[in-house]
Amino acid sequence: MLTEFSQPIKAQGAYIADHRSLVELGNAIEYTGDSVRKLREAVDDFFTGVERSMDDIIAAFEKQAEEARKQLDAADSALSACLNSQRYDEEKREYRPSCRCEERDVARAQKKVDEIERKIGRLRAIKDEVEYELGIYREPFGFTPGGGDGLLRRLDEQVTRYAGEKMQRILEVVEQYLRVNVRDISSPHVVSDEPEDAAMAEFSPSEQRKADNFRKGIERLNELQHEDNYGDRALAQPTGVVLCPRCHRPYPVACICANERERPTIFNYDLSQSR
Amino acid sequence: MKYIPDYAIQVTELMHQLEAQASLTAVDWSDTKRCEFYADYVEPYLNDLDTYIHGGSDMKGKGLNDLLQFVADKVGEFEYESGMSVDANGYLPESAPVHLPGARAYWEDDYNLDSPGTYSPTNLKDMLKKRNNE
Repeated sequence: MLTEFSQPIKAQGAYIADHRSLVELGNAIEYTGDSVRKLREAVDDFFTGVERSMDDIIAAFEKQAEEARKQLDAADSALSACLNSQRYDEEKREYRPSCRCEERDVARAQKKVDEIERKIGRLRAIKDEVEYELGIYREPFGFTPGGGDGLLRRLDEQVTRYAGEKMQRILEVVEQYLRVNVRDISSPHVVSDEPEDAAMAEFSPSEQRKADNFRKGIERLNELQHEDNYGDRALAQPTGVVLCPRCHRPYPVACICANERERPTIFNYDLSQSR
Repeated sequence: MKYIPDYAIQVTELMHQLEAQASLTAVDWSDTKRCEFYADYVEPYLNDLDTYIHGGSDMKGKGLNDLLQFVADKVGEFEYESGMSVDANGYLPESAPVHLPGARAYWEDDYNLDSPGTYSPTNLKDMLKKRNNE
């Protein structure tokens, strides 16, 4: 039996065999946008981590260079003191002592300082190359193309949003045609139009109560549909369906429990037999 | 840095998921609106993600794959010069989380790798080459 949910939409050139497929595509774009945002943050964290780690290592070498410079200053002082010192031998003749040991210390300290500074220079050059590429990567998109991060930001901030809005507008039209809620995001949306409201205004209290109950049933159905569309569903299972807990039929395509509940029960008593 | 993260693979995986869903939806939705929607949003989305991975004239600088490789090479040089590990400071996250179901199993089944969190540069290149040839 075909219900209104399973009838393909064919109006003004539109052909939609199953409107839930559109919802799935909207969800896929939304999930991709969300994943792109998280991925962008993770990639940025990674590159920032590399830069910070390099900075720390360079800072450690700078500390070593500072220590080496202090040692060089100390060796220089020792050499100066040695060169300025005067000694007298037993015959009270002046002579200058040998300072070769201090000179060797100075040369050794100077070599150490040079080595560390050269190393720092090479490390800074490597870091500059990385920072240059990462700087391009982080350039935002403007009048000219930006880097990869800017591209992802544009995807996140513009394309995902526009695609989502467009899909919402398409689903709105589908909703109006099928008179079901297929695109609810935050609160159940009850499709209503003027003639129906006007007709309901003329209901008697009991009919009004029935109509209210029916509307509540539709809202519950919409909530379940919302859960079906936006709940914990995996994209890898696009054909997954929710089964009605009462009749175990696919819900809401073939399940008619909600309709039965609202129908008045008709009993055909044979009055002649009861007498 | 011994390994580089698998971000490029993850972006590829996102593209595959979106492509798969778009193909499924195209079976149920065949009219001019669908063509417009795909031309305006789905295809540019996939193209942008592809450009993000491989680079191109639509963006400046290297694509993510080349950039990660470049950074890994430079970090290798840096570690060789300094004699210290760049990872040792604990700033680097292991990898971005996998957001979509099925992706992890897909890698394990197709590439016979037991640790999808991080791959060596050689593995990553081989995997991307294999996937591009598919």
